[in-house]
Amino acid sequence: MTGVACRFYNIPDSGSIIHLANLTSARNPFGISLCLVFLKVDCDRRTMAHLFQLDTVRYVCCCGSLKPICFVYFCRHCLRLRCPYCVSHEVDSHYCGNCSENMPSAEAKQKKNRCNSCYECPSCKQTLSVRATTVQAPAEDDPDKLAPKKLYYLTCGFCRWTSRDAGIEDSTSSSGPWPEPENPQAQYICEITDYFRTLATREKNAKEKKYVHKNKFLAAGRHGLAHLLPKRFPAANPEEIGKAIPLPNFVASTSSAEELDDLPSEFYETEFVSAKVTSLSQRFGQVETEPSESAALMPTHKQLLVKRSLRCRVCERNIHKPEYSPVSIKFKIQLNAYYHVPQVRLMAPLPTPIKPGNQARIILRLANPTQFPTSIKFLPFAWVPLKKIDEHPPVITESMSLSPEDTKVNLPGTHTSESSTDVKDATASSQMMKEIHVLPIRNESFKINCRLDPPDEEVVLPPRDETSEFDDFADTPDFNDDISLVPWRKANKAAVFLDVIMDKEASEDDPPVLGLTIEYDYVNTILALENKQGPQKVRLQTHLLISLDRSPQ
Amino acid sequence: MPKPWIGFAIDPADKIMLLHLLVTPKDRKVVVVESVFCQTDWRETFARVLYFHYEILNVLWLPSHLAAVSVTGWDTGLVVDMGYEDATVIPVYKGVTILNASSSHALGAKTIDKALKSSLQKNCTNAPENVEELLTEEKIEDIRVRACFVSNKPERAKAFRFEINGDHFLEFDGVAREAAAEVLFQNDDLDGESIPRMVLESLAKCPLDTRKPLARSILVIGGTSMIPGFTKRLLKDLTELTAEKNEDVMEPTEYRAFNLPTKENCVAWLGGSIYGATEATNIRGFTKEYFLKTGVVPDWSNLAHNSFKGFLSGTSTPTASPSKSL
Repeated sequence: MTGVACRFYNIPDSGSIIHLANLTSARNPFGISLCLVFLKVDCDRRTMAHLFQLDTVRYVCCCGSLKPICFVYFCRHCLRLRCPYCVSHEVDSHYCGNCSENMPSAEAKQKKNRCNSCYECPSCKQTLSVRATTVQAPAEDDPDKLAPKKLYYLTCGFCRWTSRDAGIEDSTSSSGPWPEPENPQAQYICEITDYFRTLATREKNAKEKKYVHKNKFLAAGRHGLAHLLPKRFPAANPEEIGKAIPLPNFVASTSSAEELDDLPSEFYETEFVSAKVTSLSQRFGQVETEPSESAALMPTHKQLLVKRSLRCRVCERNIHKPEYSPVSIKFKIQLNAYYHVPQVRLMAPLPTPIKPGNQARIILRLANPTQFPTSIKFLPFAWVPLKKIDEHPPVITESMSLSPEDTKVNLPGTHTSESSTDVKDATASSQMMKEIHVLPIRNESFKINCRLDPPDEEVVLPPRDETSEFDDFADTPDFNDDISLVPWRKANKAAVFLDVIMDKEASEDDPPVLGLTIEYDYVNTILALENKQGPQKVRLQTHLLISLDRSPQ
Repeated sequence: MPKPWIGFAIDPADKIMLLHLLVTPKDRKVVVVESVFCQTDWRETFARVLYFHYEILNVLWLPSHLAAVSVTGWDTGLVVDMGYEDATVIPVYKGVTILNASSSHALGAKTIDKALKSSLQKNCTNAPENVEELLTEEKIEDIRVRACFVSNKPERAKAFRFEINGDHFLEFDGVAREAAAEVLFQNDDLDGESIPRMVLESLAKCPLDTRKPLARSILVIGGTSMIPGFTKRLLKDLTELTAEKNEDVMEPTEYRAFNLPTKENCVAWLGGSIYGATEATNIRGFTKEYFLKTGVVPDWSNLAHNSFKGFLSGTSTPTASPSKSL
């Protein structure tokens, strides 16, 4: 939970977000709602408003999905934006969200993804705590005397369920042992599984012999829709066909109407109390038994959580890698877009709603999150959706399906600072060819009805400087800005006036959406590491959609 | 009809893989337990999600009724699948599905909920004015799960109270508890259908010599059948209906239902996990390469795979070119 919260909300210049991380990790059932209250308070400072209006400025991912900047990643090797759908999620390590204990994945598998020591309330799913009571019991050394003795039981602080409700005796030690309910049918299920394993093995053996065609053992094959695809013409193999299919050891018993039990008389005679009958979610919490009486609910082990790492699908390199320790909320690798791509916010609302055919002036706030100066140029929206050249492409042959070698050739490390447009186009198109095959194309639909009147000048942003965040009187660097373009500037941030025209043909009902492409300098330090060259500067483009009907507050 | 958007499949699947199963989807095999009457569009969308989005190498597509029959350890069963939207009866004899004898009708939990709502409104004894608002869909489901049962006796249950929210308690006449599930048995709705009649019709369409074994191995699955008293009532009604000897109804015989090692709503899942524990995925699953090549997952309803021509050619003729756009 903590990891997720941090990833989504950890935006560089927002100190108050730390509250969020700390509070969600607190073992408090109200953790999340408390955080929201905190954020709301901060919201008055107006700087936080963008957190609540995430969809005002949306970045267009290369797969065509539209996401706010905090949901997008930036692959430093492909130099492209990646959204959660174009990265593959991998399980890094298992841990318990309550006791923060790491569990190796083999052990987690054996323990069915449950924590050893933490328990969950079967009634409301909160974590159970151990409570101690003292009883007077005969002392061990002198049975005639009464001595206080400590006993422990599990209790839920949220719904007041206790292990005594389940008829579990108090334990003498605080760590249990608490009884583990066993599935009464485990033996039977094992037998059935073994039987099917034998069948499957026989079918596999039969398949390995060339001339045997019929796969007759597993029912799924025989009727199941899959057998309709014969790979070879039938050829009888007397040996295999002659062999009888083994009979199962266990067959479920059947019963007739008379043998089935009548409904217990409680249904008619006793008064119905809804609290004594479990709800659906309580039953689903205990799938083995699915008890219908509340008294039969047993404490369950707490479900583990995972830290996940993300990998770029195109170049197969890590985009996110959390630190191994479950307590740590830091990352070894964290390529969020807001560390690499200029952040654009709508600074002030339009004073009056924009009308079709009219012009308006908007103020954007730009921030350069990188350690290198950048120069931003505004262009009309120029996003090209990933599309196959042919709408009905030929059947993908084996060679076209991506093998790992394919993805490794032509890695987009070939960006050069002084590349001619041809080379640039070539790398860009080879990059896109790869993305077409590897990425799931989403191409979310959107409608742009406002155009930009792009200024000729570029806006230069100095690098990000951590210390300037805390220095209100720091010197603002002088870039000889044209006041009509850049009215305000501080450290690595600048405000920009832009003229926007809404299309004449646009309908009044459509919300005004501005399409915009920014071109900026990006210094590729990864290439320097790999090729032992100096950092390479490249010009990158990012495409944005800005909704003009929302006020930033 | 527009193609279903993959997000509908990806978001819940992500939740299953990364919050509950805690696995890296890429290196797992997957067993999909599906209804044979599942919409092709949804099936294909899900296939694209599995093969393209999760890059799963091998997926076994298993019909849910076969998965259910495998749990019994036996190869014959008349599967009565009680779902939310509808009830489906599919006979499986010696491992072979008699698909033309299957029947499906809108008699599921949704039907019960509808009947329950009107019955609750009728039988509310302390009726406040806003009864209709208080009885939300979730609350109706809660009442169905906790209070309803299928009656086998002429007796009546006692009046009961149900907490709607902290402020409201509704009191109902006891008849509401047992009346709702009657819609499954009384066959006086528009289609003139009931669960016992569906079973009998299905049996009547089966070959003669399979009817008795099938009648002796009725397999009731699906969460809706977990209403207390359901199976007993079904068997009782079947016996009575047969005794009446309607013309399309078979000879009187003994009806028996399987006692299963798990609750009814998990039967198909358990069957799927039994298959998943064996080599079946490797033998019968469809690989990612196959899907990339043909763009389809073979299905019984697709004549390219399920026809004499397709059978003779020995290979499937791909009908659709693969499209990676999800």
